[in-house]
Amino acid sequence: MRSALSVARTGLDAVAHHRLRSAVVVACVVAALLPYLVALGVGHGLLDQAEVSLAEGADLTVTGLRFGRPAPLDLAAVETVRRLPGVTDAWPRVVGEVQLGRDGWPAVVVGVPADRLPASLEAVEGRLFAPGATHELVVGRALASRLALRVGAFVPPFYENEHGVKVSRVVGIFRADAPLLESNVVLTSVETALAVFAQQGVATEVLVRCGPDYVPEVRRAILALRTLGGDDGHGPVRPRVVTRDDARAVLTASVLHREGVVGLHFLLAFAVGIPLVLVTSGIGLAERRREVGLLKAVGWHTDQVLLRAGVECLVLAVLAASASVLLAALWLGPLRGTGVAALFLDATDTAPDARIPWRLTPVPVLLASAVALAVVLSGTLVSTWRTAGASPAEALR
Amino acid sequence: MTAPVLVAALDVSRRFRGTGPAPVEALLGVTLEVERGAFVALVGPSGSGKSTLLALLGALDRPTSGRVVFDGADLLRASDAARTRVRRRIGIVFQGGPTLRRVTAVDNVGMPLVARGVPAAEREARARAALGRVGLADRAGSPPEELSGGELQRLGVARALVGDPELVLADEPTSSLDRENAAAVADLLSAAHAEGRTVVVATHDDALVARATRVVELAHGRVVADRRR
Repeated sequence: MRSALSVARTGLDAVAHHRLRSAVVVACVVAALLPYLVALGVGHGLLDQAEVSLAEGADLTVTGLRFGRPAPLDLAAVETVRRLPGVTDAWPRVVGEVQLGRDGWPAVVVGVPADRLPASLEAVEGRLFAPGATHELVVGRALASRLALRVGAFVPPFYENEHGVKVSRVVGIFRADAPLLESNVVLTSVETALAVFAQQGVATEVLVRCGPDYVPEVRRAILALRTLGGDDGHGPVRPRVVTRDDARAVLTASVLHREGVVGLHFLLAFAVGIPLVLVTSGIGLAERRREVGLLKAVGWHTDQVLLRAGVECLVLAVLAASASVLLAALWLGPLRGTGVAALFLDATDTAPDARIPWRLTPVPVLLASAVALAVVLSGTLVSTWRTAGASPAEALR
Repeated sequence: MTAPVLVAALDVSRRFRGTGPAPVEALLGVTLEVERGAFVALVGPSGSGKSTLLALLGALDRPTSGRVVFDGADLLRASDAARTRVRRRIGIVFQGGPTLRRVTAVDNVGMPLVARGVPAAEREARARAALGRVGLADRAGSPPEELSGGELQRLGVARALVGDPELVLADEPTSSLDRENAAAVADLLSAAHAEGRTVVVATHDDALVARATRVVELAHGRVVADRRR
């Protein structure tokens, strides 16, 4: 036991004695591991954010289809749905894209009743829009910062429509638990949103809350409705219903798909990384070979030589994994996942003032550490084992 | 009455793959029995097989044919672990004084003791004592990179002796040294012999050969002369 500890200690010393060799191995592993950890961090952050949104959202989201294409729902549909058995609440939501500022920055106007705003949403400046008030806007923190909008600022008309030119006023800046909302969302009342988009008596979707265990039944009942649109002469609007679980599955699949793509790159990187480490550790390969030959010649058993190399590998893997996790946190936090976040989010969400959601969980970190160990072991232990198995004279030659 | 044989090479041949199509025959049917307490000098021109024979005697290499027997044990059939146990009874001074780079002299000398489970304090004390014996007490904390060629060779002697070996093998221990350092290394080997250890050196150094009790001459991989004094 004492012998094993002494041998292990020499492995630890070897890391410090061969700084260049150690640094090259750690750098190679970090180079392959880091983007993967960053991608996992962003992926998990997005899933968390999706979960927050889903938890605060409705049980069912009802949209309309006409000839297989999205169509607005008549506001009367809200009342129709609300009367269905099992429905505890239903409200309209108007969603549409506008362009703001001199550079035409894309933003999403969301019109909802004031009393249906997400619970986690809070005004960090000013207030949320008042019930019944029109042309009051509450702007996401990142969007306000980007467009230099302050409370009290007047927003020029999004565009002129048949109701005339209307100027809206920013009454508040909001923050949300789902940070992406802050980067491109403008919240307002349903009435204001309809005015913005020159619409009357319609909604983009109807959000529904149901009693416990009523979701399937309500879903069936809504789908059974012949139409949810007004009789405007363009044909009926058929309902389309997305449950919370459906939305969760779509969001998760989307994130996992991207994680999968990154994971594939990660595997490729390691497939390249292993030979790379093997080659780069060639900086110390001749030296390691000589060391092994010398140790064997002076009476070290093969397993002792392997233990020494194994401890060296373990220390290097721990160093590489720790450095990767720290750098990943740096990349995700202050550097906002630059480069990798764009794989998951669009340009608006990755703008400089947007918060990028991220979370590093223990499992991928441990998994990454294990892979780092495997890479370093394969790069070092194999060559050590081969040398230790050969005659010392050959290794020293 | 002759002393018992400690190590013997019996009809050994060693063939290497060369750079050309033909293999290199380093040793051809060499037989050499080394008695306990002997001081044997292996002499001969470069490429005559001295270093190869030394490596075979030190269980650092295996012969292509023939047998090497150490204290009655056949090394050809021995397992890797058994050969390692034999190597622990042998101290080897390598040509060129290879060391663990950036590791202090005292740790380099103590390295054979690490594998034997010698406690750190005792290991350091023995390594310092060995360094003191070779006149390197004041260089104990220096890495090999800071030592001269003569100091490196003496460090190699200290490392070979630190494990209290029965057999000391030295491959060209004075080849790259000036006269003063060569004499110092030769003195150390003579002292080891005087302590009762068996010493086998491969050398071109006449001064060192003069200290030997037996001179074995090799040429083209064969023993061509064997003189006892």
